[in-house]
Amino acid sequence: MRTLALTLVAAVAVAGCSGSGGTASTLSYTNPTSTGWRLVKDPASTSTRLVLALVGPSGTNTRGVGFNLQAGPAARWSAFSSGLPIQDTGVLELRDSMPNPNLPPDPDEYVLLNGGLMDGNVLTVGIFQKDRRVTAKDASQPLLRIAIELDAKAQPGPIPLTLKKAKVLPEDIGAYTDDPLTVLSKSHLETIDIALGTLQAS
Amino acid sequence: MKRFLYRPVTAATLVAALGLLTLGAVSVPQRAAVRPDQLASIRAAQPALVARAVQHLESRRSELGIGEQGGFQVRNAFTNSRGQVVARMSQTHAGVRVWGGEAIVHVLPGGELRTQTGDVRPGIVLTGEPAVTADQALAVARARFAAKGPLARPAKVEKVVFPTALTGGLALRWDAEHRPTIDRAMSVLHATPRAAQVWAWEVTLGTMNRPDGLREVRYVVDGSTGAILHISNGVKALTDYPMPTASPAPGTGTGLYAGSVDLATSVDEGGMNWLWDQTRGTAPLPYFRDIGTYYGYPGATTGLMVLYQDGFNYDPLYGDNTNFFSSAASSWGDGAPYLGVPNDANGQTAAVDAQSAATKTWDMFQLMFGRNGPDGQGTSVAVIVHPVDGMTGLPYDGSFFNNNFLFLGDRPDPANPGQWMPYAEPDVVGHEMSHGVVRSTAQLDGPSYAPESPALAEAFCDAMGEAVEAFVYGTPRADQWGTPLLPVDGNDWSIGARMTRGAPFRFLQKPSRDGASLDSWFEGIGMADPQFASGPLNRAFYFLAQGTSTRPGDAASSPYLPGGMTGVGIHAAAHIWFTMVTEYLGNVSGYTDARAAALAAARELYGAGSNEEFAVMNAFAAINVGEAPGQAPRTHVSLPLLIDRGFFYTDRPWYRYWPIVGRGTTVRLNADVSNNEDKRIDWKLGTPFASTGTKFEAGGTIGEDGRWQVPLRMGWHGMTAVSAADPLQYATTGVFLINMDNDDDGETDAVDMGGIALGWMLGPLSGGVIPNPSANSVFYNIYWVDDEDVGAFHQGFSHAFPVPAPAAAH
Repeated sequence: MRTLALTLVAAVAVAGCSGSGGTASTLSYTNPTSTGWRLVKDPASTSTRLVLALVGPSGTNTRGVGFNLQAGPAARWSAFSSGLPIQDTGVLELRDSMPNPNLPPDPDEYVLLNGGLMDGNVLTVGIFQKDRRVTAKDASQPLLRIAIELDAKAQPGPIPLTLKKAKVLPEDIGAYTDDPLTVLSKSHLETIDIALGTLQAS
Repeated sequence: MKRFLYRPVTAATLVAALGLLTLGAVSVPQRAAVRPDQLASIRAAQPALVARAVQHLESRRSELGIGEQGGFQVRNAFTNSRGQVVARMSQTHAGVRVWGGEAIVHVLPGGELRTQTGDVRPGIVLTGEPAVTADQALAVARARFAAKGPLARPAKVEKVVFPTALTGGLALRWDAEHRPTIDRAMSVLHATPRAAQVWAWEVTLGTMNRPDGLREVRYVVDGSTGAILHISNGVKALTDYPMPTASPAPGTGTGLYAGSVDLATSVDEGGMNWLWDQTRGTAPLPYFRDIGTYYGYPGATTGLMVLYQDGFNYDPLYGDNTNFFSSAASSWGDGAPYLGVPNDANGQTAAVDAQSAATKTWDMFQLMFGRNGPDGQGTSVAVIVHPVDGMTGLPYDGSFFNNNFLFLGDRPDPANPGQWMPYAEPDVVGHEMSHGVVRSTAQLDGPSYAPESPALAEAFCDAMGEAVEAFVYGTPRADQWGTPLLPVDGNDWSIGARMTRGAPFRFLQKPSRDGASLDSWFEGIGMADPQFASGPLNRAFYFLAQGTSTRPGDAASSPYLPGGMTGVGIHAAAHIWFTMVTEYLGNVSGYTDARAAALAAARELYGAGSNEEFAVMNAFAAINVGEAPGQAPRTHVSLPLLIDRGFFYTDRPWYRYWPIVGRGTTVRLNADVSNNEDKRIDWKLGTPFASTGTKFEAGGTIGEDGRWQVPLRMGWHGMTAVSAADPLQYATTGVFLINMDNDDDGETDAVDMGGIALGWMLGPLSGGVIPNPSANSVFYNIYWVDDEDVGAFHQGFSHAFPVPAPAAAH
């Protein structure tokens, strides 16, 4: 029994390294050519775990973004060390900009950052500034990161990625100094398209 | 299907087997172990014995894990009729009270010490001072309290150590139809701080005025951040009263329930008579003492006093107009239902009944339990009849006891439209005054307010109400030494039968007869209104006293104890219950704790292996709490935490009952079955009390695998997991549905957080000028969005959308 088990392990290892006719072992991503909203490969990526960063068009400011992204069954979404499948890059200002000046900061303050899995291998993530008093941020720098890995049974070949929904919180959502009707007329999310690159298992 | 082995052993069987003496269904109490003179000397030595108890506890610092800074301060102490000094201690750290930390010490007549230290909180390492000042904490609490009128007295601010595991609390309130709803102002949705304990400030604020009504709220404010970590309600009476000085004098009265009675009253120098019994209550009533300190109130502060509220002369600023009953005549009342004028002869009738019943209750406590008034310290009690609804100025329909004020309202008379029946019936008065016993001992209805503890308080007070009713109406009797016993007749095992003209509020024999109360315990019963969740303990008291029937379908039968049991009589049952609450239960106790405490009390009063001890086991087994002697462990169904990561309540198990879920999402429910190899669950929508008093919706659909398609209708929904192998065993949970489609696109996902951002703090920061689109709030009927919406969204999100696994190792 012991001999047989070792033989099987060796066979699996060989198949994994070959990249053809067996399970895939590496994951690659080619960035999209678009200069608008897009998911690009992050330097933190490895050959088995791809980290993608969301960047927006230059000259655009935003207060946050969220999207639902479906991957083919050959890939599985992955969590970061925080336990969430989304990583804050620190560009957006997530906390209350003007907490009670008489009180120390609250380390447990809730922020609008979360993510999880929906049916159909759809990743849903969002990161938003909750406080409209803070300024919108330059969208052309990485605003968030997500991660994806190969499924253990993945076969070599392209893995489809499909954007199901994406919305941003625009720069002008009305200020406290605006009249109520103006604020209400500006209080909405804008639908955007996020360009996706090609995902390949090999 | 394998059912548990059931081998009923009745108390009578065990007693016979053990060769013990039994005298039928009524137990004869053991003779008190100490003589009256010994008792007097022990009571005189009580302060020294209590000090010794404190010293003893503090000598065990290392064992208790409380460190050199740990200590104890006496919260309450009394000497029971068995010559034991019972001292309840609040735990301290560096001299500061540890919130919820307590210990109980019994000092036995022989000097032996018995301690209960299960609620002592070890491992406190706090040093220094809180970063938030007392004034800042007060400001935080006042902002949440949002009083419209003046405070009734200066705010109380106390530095405490707060165990952060107690953070949070989703407060429920019940509307007129007993439909539960979330009480936003009283809920805490703040995340649990990382530290196990924090410095905190306990701030108590109270009002009694027309716009605010009668309110007292206790806030625990984090000393590091200023966040509110806990809120509890503690309504107290806070108004001003005139008070005469007068001499004791006899009077007579005619009550609606009491008939013709003699009354202990007072007469002043001008010949005016007052319903003021100066013989019961020797310690000042705290409120009168305080207004003497703060406002120069010059009147008397002690005794059993009867007052009324005058709805015809309602003060628009300070609420009621409350006065003592006074009369030129020494006879009071006309014995008729209340017609609406509080201080004429007809209005006096309720006062006659109230004073008579309160007097009997006071005497019953003293004669049966050796207790001097509700708090055991002889603290005076003021009864207020004909209280007025703070918002309408109409007669208040209800009764309650707070801070030694007993409020007895008026209920519309079903036989005579336009007339009222006062809540001054002996079992009702006995019930309410017994809340004073609970407040000064176990504090089951205190600030901690664990799910089942208020139900235990209600049931205990019902039991004492029955004891008072037996004491008032029953045939007096005594044991062979002349010690008075509770009569075996006189009580009807229901609460309020006279004032409701035969439609009692509660039935102890079969609580579900009221259409709302529950007959047996199950996990999740704490979700129900405490008035109805009290049912099982009421039934256990009845079974303990009277026994059960073995005929299925009888009102006194229980499917959990088909072999039946013999009762030990109301006297023994009442003594066990009284000892259970005053000496063994704590402020977060539940039903299983009550069983353990009742067993300890039975052993204490009647001996280990006694008939009474086994009767307690049987009585609790008959309500599905623990097993009867000889029974194998029962199948148990439990619902593990729905909240498995972060956010609210994770460290506070009872909040498992109250998770937050997004409407329209899909949630996977899980239930555990123990003590049975067959783990199958039948899922049912709704709760065992969904169709009765407390209404949790039975919305959505649920599959055999526990996948719940959450409905769109917001509010409270419930579901029940029933053991397929043993349908008598089930657990229930309720969830509060919130709106998570905050961008209003018909789909719940992480993008909805953008919708929350659009509404965040818009209303409050704009001074309420900018209306907040209600779609952005996760709660309904709430017109602002703040961090509590953010936190609630995250909890709902965690139930609907699992997180992927972390990076795999390669």
